Amino acid sequence: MKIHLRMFAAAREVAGADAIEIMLPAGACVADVRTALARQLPALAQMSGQLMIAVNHEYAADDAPIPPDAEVACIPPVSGG
Amino acid sequence: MAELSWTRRVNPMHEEETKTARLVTSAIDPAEVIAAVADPASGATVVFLGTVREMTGDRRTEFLVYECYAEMAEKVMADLERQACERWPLQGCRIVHRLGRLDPAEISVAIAVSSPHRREAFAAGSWIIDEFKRVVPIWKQENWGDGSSEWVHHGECCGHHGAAAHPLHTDATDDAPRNDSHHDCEHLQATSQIVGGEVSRD
Repeated sequence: MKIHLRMFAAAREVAGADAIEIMLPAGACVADVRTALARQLPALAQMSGQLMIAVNHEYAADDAPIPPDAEVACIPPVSGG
Repeated sequence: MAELSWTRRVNPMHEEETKTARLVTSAIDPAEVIAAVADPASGATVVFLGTVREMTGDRRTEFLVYECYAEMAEKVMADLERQACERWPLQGCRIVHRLGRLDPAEISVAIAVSSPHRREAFAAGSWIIDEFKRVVPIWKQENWGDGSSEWVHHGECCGHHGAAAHPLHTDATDDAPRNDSHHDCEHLQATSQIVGGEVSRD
């Protein structure tokens, strides 16, 4: 399945876009998103350990499934406030 | 992002969710945030204002740019308000964050909490800003006086932050200060300020 992965802040600048498309196998989980992201954007490797993945507006653990049509986002360490 | 539409908001636990803007692009008026939590049953209102600090060590901030993941930030902020109302007997709770360009001394975030007695209001306000900085998907871009700019990503400074700094960690602790949070990390001096011997980024 094709996932539209939203990107923010430094991750967005590395990607050069506010979203990228990644292909995932059916039944994929968050860990698969990380793998696809690392393959597609090796320049993100430096911050990859700090990136969170959000699925449908909630932080998701690596074993969380990605439902079809889910909104998935790559969240660098936050710095609001 | 809608502009401020101040709807009187009492304890969100006991009221249907009102449509209010937690993310704004124009100046935050503290009086409006205070009014949003006003309630006759309250004896205390605590307000926290985060403002843009000009000097970080010997580096001067020209301005900041805040970016957010709006849909998720709204949801996480609403959830923080709800959690605060579950943890303390609050009459009102409101969080507002500004986005876009902010100059030194401008207000980036306002948190107002009202409760029958002051202790609960202080505790809730302190908890909310700590949690806010840990979980709300908003990012700050420093634009320095020398013309350079950089996104501030607090987690990437070092590898020794405790689990409490991790957004997936559920904060089930009591109200004790969290010494393992990134607030006390000395690697963060680039974005911290020493105040009376304590490291504070506020």
